[in-house]
Amino acid sequence: MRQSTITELQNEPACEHNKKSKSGCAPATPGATAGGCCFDGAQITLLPITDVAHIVHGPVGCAGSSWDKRGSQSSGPELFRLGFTTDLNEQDVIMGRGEKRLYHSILQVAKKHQPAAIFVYNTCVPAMEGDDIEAVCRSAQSHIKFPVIAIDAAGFYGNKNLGNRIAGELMVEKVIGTATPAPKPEFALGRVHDIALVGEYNIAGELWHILPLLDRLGLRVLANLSGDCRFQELQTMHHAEALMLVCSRAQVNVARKLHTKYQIPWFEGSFYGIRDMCAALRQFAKLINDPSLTERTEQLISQELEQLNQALTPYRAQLKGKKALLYTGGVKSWSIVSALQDLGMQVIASGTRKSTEEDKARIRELMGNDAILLDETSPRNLLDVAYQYQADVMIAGGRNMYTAYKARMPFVEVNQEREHAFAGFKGILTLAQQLCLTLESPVWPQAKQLAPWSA
Amino acid sequence: MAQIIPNKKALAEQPLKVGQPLGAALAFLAIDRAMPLMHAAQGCSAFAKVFLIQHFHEPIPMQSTAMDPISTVMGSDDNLMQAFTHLCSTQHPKLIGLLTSGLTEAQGCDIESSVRLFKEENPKYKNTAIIPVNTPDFYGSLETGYAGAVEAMIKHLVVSKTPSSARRKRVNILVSHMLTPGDIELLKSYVEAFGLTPVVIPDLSLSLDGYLAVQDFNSLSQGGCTVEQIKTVGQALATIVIGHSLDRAASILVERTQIPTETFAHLHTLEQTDRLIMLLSRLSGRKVPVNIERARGQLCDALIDTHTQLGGKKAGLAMEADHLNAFSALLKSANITLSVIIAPCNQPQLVSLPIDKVQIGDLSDLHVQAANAKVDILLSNAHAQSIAKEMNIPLLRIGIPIHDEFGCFAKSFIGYSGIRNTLFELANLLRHEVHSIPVYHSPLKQDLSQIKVGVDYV
Repeated sequence: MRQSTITELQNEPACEHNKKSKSGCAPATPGATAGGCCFDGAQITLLPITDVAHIVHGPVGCAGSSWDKRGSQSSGPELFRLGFTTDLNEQDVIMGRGEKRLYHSILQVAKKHQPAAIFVYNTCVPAMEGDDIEAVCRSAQSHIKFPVIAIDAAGFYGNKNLGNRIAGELMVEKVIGTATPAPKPEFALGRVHDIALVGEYNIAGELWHILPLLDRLGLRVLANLSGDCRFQELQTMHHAEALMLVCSRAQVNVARKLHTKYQIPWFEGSFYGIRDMCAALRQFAKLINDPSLTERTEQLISQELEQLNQALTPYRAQLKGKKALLYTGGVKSWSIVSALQDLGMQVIASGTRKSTEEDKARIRELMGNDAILLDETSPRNLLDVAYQYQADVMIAGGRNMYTAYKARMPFVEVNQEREHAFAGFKGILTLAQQLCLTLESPVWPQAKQLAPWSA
Repeated sequence: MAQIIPNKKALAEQPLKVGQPLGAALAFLAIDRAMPLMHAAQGCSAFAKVFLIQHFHEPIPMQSTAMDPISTVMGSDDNLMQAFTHLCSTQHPKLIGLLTSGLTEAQGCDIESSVRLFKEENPKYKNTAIIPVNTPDFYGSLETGYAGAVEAMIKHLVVSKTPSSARRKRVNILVSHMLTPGDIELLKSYVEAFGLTPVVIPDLSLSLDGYLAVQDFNSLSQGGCTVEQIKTVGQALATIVIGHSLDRAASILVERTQIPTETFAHLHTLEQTDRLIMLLSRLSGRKVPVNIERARGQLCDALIDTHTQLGGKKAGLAMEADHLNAFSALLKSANITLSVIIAPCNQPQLVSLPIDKVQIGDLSDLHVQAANAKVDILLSNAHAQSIAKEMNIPLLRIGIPIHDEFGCFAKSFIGYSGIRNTLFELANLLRHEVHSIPVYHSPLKQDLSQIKVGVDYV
């Protein structure tokens, strides 16, 4: 990929921070990184498309340590889980046989699995060697009937955000806009409206907390980039009447470009927490501007809230005033804050890794100006903050789970490896249950008790 | 305080209960060069033999007095004498465990006096101890049969007098049926780690631990604690009792030997294991070894690592009272809810279980109640597998029989490492339910066959 393209992607006009002198997409500092690479970001964005064969072109390190790890769920095909890789060996690298190997890999996967499409992900070694994966894909394309798309986002190009962005960009350029949607189905309560989601990955099946609500409103999700999505659905995404960017500032370019290209109105929102969930549903109604939809939306919200508040009562009593230390990245840094506050908890600090200036502004709005914002920080510092402010529970990604556990501190996992779905109204209940489960567990007094002989 | 709900059904379906003679036989099989002799029709010993073979994957010595119609009507003393004579003269056992059955108990057979008579008339067989136990299968269960056998061994072998020499390093350990051979091995290693010498009564870890001996065939039990060791229990520094089913046996031992005795309901929690280790440290005057301290820390870590997986899950348990006591404590310490508890028969310790009610019943009761309570996991013997399968939930196999898995006898559930293994196993078994949201198919979803592919600009 050309450096100019990368620079262009980093300079996202929809990001307000790019109007300031300090860019939010600054390069990583050697010796002090914790996030993933560009390839990671691209793969994360696209891998949940379930009927695509995702081939990682490179030595085994890239696919080998990342395949089938995220909890994206599928309602149909499981092809995306198979971890295809060209597994380049020493001879391939020295003799420059990578391209040939990739070519045959594409043909093999096409013959054996008949995928809806094949995505080929570039990685550091072939990118450095100069493998022309675009050309290989084009050449293989002439032999098979499935689209073959090169995803050129090798690790060293930049950080995970950039990878998200490259992947999104490629979908806009090469996939979206290449098919006409199925005719709209009948809907008893009014007109069906087509919508699209960007950045919802169906982790632990979260989308399935949201879809039933959208169905009740007559909102057909044409395509979701990319949880539980089919390749063909993605091809029709440009017909959406409104688009929601779900907790994913990193893919703001997709929303912006679809707006420019197809005039799709979009908004950025979150499915976490009561306030944000309601706001998201209302935003759709507002953008689509159908009075009957607005009415149905209000009805649904009041029904759901009544049920939810009843179910939450016992948990709220247990969680009231409990102090949480939130250390996650990106949009989750504010969307989860609001969810925790909805449960009556006090959020003492929030992490802002990968968060944009807008994200940070939202945190301040929610937590007040004295909010402690933790940028890239060490586990040691994280624990010190937790002790200093007497946190009752830490809420973070999987890699910090054991930091908390070693410090005998209750913990709830909220990042992509999480095992529970926290989105939607049902998800808030699950979040409350998980928080109570760890906070009230009898294992803490047992683990804190020193051996009787060491006293 | 638990309320005991009696069994009101006429018919037992998928029985949980295993009869007393089998439990007693198990205890005798853990004595070196012993032979369990069932005073019953042939079938009793044949069934029991196959049952234990399938569980332990070992040959099981077991004999019968082969009751027939004549002895059933006319009295069975002759069968007993014949059996004793045959066993003593051909196999020279150190111990014969004589167990009664429903048939011979109902017949009114006085085994105590038959044994006395045989001993008086046959002084040449004085090297064979014959221990009679009343184990009608219309009463109690495996647990009471096993405890009865241990009690009988103490009653018949331990004499009440001050022992001539005291062994300051020896510790007696009376273990209930709930400890597997693997459990006993671990327990002995703890005692030995403090420089003490454990004598486990009875010791399954030396007989049914799945050991390939040099000798090709043994008509008797191929190891276990020796009759001599039982006779000399009074020389020990202390006695440790594991399992409340042995309370009566323990009190007889205390009465006869006057040595300090400490009882543990189980060793299936961190708290009880801590208590054991402190006791051993006190008895030996030694510090706790580093490896034990390490294992404790590993258990604490496992408690934390598994707590969200296990916490809030609901379990259905069907097992003997000692096991119920142990596993209910373990599950509670991991925050698993005890939703259904089934015991094969009533036992004094059941009322003190940390739950509302205990149903006396069978595995069909487990099935119905577990389904109603929507439990997440079952803990019972292997017979519950079909229920677990039907309910599509996992089963942690506990107790006897476990005939569909290898190495069940080698597993340990006690002590720091055993508890840790059990937590891991529970968490793994429960793992398949992680993605609890059912797949949702949107009725509005596009029919892929209706999508028209081809560049399309709106």
